[in-house]
Amino acid sequence: MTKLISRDNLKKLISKVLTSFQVIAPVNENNVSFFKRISVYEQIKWEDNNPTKSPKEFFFAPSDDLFRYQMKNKNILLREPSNHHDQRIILGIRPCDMAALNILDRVFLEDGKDLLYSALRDNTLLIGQSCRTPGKYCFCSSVGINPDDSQNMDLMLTDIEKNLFLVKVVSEKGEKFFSHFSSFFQEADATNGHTPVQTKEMVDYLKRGALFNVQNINEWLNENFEHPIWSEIAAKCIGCGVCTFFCPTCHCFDISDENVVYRDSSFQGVRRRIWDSCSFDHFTKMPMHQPRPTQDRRFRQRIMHKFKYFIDRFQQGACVGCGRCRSLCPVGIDIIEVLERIHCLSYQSHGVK
Amino acid sequence: MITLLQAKTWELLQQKEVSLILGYGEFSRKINNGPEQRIISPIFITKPEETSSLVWNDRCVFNLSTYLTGKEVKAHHKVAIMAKGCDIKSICVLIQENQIKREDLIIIGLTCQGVIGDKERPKAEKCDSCQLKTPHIYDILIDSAEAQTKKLNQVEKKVESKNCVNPVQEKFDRMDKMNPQDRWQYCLDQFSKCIRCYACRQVCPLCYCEKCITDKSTPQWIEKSPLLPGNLSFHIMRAFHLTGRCVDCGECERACPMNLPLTTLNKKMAQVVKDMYHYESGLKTDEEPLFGSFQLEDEESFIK
Repeated sequence: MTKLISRDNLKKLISKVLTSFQVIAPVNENNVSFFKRISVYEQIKWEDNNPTKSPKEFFFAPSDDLFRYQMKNKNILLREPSNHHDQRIILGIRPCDMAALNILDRVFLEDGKDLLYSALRDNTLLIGQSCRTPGKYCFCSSVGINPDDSQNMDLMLTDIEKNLFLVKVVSEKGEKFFSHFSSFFQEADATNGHTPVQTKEMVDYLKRGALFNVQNINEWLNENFEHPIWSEIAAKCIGCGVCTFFCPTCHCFDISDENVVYRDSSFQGVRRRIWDSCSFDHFTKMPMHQPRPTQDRRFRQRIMHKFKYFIDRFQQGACVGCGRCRSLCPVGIDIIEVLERIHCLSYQSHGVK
Repeated sequence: MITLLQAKTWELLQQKEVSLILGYGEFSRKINNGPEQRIISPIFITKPEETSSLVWNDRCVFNLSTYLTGKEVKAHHKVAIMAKGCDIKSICVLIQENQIKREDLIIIGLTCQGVIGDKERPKAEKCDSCQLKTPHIYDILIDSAEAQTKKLNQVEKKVESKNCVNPVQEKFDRMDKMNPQDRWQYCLDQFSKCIRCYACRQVCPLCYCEKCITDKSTPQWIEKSPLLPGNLSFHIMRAFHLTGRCVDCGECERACPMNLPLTTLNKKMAQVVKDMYHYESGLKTDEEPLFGSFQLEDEESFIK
């Protein structure tokens, strides 16, 4: 089902739903763009591409309370966190970030459901937006994602004129939302094809196609756990967590017991699940052994996880081509450069396929 | 064309004076809206023929001395490093603190008229008050001042036309004028944004502890979760650990993906140290570090 909505009506719609939903949309503070819960429509900063921070943190938070505990007269009192959440709408999620969410779904919902994640996933309506121009560092087309992919969104907005969006109602949840607020939408004209707006750069980007072949990379990785390129590329890696924390699909976490001190100076223990990164030197550190003692092994793990282990396990890669890691790395490590090199090496070892 | 830099470094490797050169290389990065972007990035050179990829220009912002304390670099018997005046200050502190030996190092000093700033500043903040355009410690000096002066004159004109005050002073004045509550609130607002990726710590040449106190969990000293209490402890602890040591290379602030004004605290501490003890870090290799020396007349009025 496709409908139309004008920018004015979208504004009215969002202002209306703000009274009954938590609305999370892209904003820009301190020159960093990210998703944030907004209170008025005007806070939204519409940019052409995905914000610097992905919406991952709204499903898998940088710090999640698992439970709280307190000692009382030699008894331990346990308290679970409330799993009541208000209904939420995430507005302006891009196809790459949506694809990343599908990857997280496989991790957190298949084979044993993560309760925190699934509760947040269930109460969130996703309103996507297709890209009319490629971001400076994006490479979604190289990993098989379309910049107008509406798969698994609830509603999808596409620019068709300056102030007019084509709205694709994708899911049942989206239909329910639509029927509730149908007065804000217009009928799409069946005779008019409503061509999406695409910049010249987007046309070139799509024409260029893939920069590398994920299948070839996967095959090469199968055979090259040990290879000189790992230490060559990772020599300059400083071991910070920027690439993994900003990655919309990275999902490794650590468990940390911490204290919450209240105003009356009583305190409670809290067990938290916090983001962790395979780039950190203590990530695999165990009392007697460190299986990844050098940065090249940690770097290899990141590439292996995305292009081998995840494919082995879930038959899909875990990179969505959002380009955040390559644009933010403090020492300029570029994942495209790495993948192109591997792609070339795979040709050298197997011939042209 | 072979530059003086390339010729000198070729010689060093060819004559086996060093086995590794830490330098700047130029790489191309694919971007979607325009031609390929030329970026400068650290490069590790071990073969003489690779020295042709070394470059030096005003985009060489990285402080390469952060690699000197790494295991991989320490495995080499002797290393040469390209360093600007500000970077040499941090090398100097590493020598003072016995992390590296002066004789194991060949410093390729670079005459610098200022590097570009990122985040929409034409020139890095630290360059405004730089006193070390010609480095104070070096073995080989690469002087490419002319090519640089040309470029930066244009940039400076732009700044003048905007009528900018020295941004560092402006920042301090603004902070000093705030009342304590507002200043505290400002710190809370900023540090609550930290996501604890530790880019600041990892990129810092003087954060070389083998195990950072933040990573210790038995017992835990600093909360690991990226929430305000742990973030505050981490950043204030880091500022304390860098007091009398930080050389204001600005790498933490450049690396921070959340654009936090990380150098502000460090600069304030450096100012206090300078006023109280007339000490500036990173100037002399044979000087005792601030916290490693004591004199009876040392200022201690702040101990209450």
